[in-house]
Amino acid sequence: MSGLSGYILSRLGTTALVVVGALTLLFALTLLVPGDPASVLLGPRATPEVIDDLRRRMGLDLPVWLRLLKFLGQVAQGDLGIDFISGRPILTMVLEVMPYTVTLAFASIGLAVAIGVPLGTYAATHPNTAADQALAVVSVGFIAVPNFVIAIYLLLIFSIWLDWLPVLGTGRPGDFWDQARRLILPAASLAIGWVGYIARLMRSSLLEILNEPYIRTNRAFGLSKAKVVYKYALKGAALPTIAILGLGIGRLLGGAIFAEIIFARPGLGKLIYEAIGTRNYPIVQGGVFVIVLLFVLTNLLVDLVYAWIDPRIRANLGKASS
Amino acid sequence: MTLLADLRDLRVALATPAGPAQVLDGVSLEIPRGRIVGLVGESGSGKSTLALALLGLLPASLSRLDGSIRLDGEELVGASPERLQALRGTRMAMIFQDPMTALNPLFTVATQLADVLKRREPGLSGAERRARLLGMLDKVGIADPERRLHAYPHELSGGMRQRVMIAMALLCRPDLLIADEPTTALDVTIEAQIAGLIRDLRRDFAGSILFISHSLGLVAELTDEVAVLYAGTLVESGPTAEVFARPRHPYTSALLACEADLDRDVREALSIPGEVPSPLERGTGCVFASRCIRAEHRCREETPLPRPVEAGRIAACHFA
Repeated sequence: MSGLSGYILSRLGTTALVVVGALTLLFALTLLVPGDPASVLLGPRATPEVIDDLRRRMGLDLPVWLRLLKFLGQVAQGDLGIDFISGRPILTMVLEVMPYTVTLAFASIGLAVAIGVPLGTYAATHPNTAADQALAVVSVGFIAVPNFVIAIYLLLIFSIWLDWLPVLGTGRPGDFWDQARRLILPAASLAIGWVGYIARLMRSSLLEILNEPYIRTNRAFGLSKAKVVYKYALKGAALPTIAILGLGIGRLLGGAIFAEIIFARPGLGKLIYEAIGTRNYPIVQGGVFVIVLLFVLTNLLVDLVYAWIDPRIRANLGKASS
Repeated sequence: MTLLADLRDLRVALATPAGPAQVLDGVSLEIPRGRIVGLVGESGSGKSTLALALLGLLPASLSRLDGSIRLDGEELVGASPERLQALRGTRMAMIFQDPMTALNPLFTVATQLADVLKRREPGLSGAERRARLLGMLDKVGIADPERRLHAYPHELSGGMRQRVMIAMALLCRPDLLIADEPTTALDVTIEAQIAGLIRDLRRDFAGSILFISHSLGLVAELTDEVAVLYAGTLVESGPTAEVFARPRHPYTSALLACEADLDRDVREALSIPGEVPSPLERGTGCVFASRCIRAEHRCREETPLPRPVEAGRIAACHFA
């Protein structure tokens, strides 16, 4: 296990580097984008004195390197700055919407796994049958249709025509079932593309594993088909899918914006989108920073799951870190 | 001597992108109880196909099986997949050429061996099973079995993995063990150790072994009887010592001549000229005629059928 703990340490180190790099890029963004944030915030009728005053309060009059260091130092203390429009701490604003985004991302991926993995497994164990070919067509269709189109259809069918599920919003605070019911359609609209993707990936990796000599060994010793597939083949076949899940969750954390707008849900994507419209850079920085943080943490988790499943990776880790 | 397995006129056609290939073309083979039968031939002669056909492991959708395989009198050609699965791991088992890939890299030796034992003897308690596994690892010559039992395959050397495979086979106590070139992927010293292990096991192992190899030296050392395959047909069979001392088929003679050298480079140079005819295009006449030094007009016209040439010996040659 020393290999694993050494690995976690070295991965935390790289994670920190990625985060600092992302922060620096985010900071540079404010320098590269045209337009002075202070004058944009105050509007065309502000006097130069008022603009200068806000520039000083925002720290825009300091040299660039000092502003970067200050920015990094503040972030390290958990201070993402103050929103100059509402006067509220950005961290608070981000943390308010983060649970909605995280819940949506994990619900979507969870749903995609719960449907995609069994479909892919079925297709791989019944290759070239009519069902397999039908699944292939449906999967590719799911991947190809943009999720906002699916979202609109789901809304139309399940909320408006059938009236089974509520239309918009996130539900009454504290009412778990209401919130869960309102999560179904947005999560499903985001999940469907991933269902197709995971089903295809699962099919191809499981088919590959089922042709491995060690699977032939299992069969030569008469193990049941269920044991061969679900115990011995599925574990290895799950690895590529797990790798994709890390990316998928990361993408959904920042990219759920269409679902958030269509279903009128608060979320990180929507927060950032609206902040870009008003050139409210501190919010863009804070929001993107939190997404980057969640992304690298998710991928760290994926790598650990990988090492936990595959002993050969664990062994290589031990060699690399010692 | 009673027969354990009796293969009669076995034909296997495999579907390939280029059309059906007759990989086995009427092979008859008898495996007596408690004996080791060697199966030799070049790559592509159909040795592994014969083994997979015996176990019922050829993909049903891509292969066509004709003829008869009787195991203890029970017909296996046309038996249900469920019946064949029931026989595998109980009455018959197989170990493979490459021990590096024959074990699942994501599971410990203990898990993989335990599942095989659980199937053979479902009633054992966890502690009994563990004791049996440790005893078996010890028996196949694995030092420190306590530690090896919980190792993953990548933590073991090739020779040790093949010992694990042999342990797996012995846990089944099969009537018929098929060993498909079990030493080919190993280096020479390990090959000798594994061969020694198989020889030693004869004392405890009551079943029959079908030992597939292209190493005639090993076949001579380990087997009681031998069958020589060429291009999907049986060209000669009989007691190993007699066949090797007085081969009756020119192909067997040529194989023995190739083997009678000292190292592999020389063997390459001495190898039989010509190529094994493709299973896609088999014409009339003897399959070996195109490479045979004794071939005459008759050999290209008339297919020589395997026939008894003396007591216990069969050869498929007009001149035998």
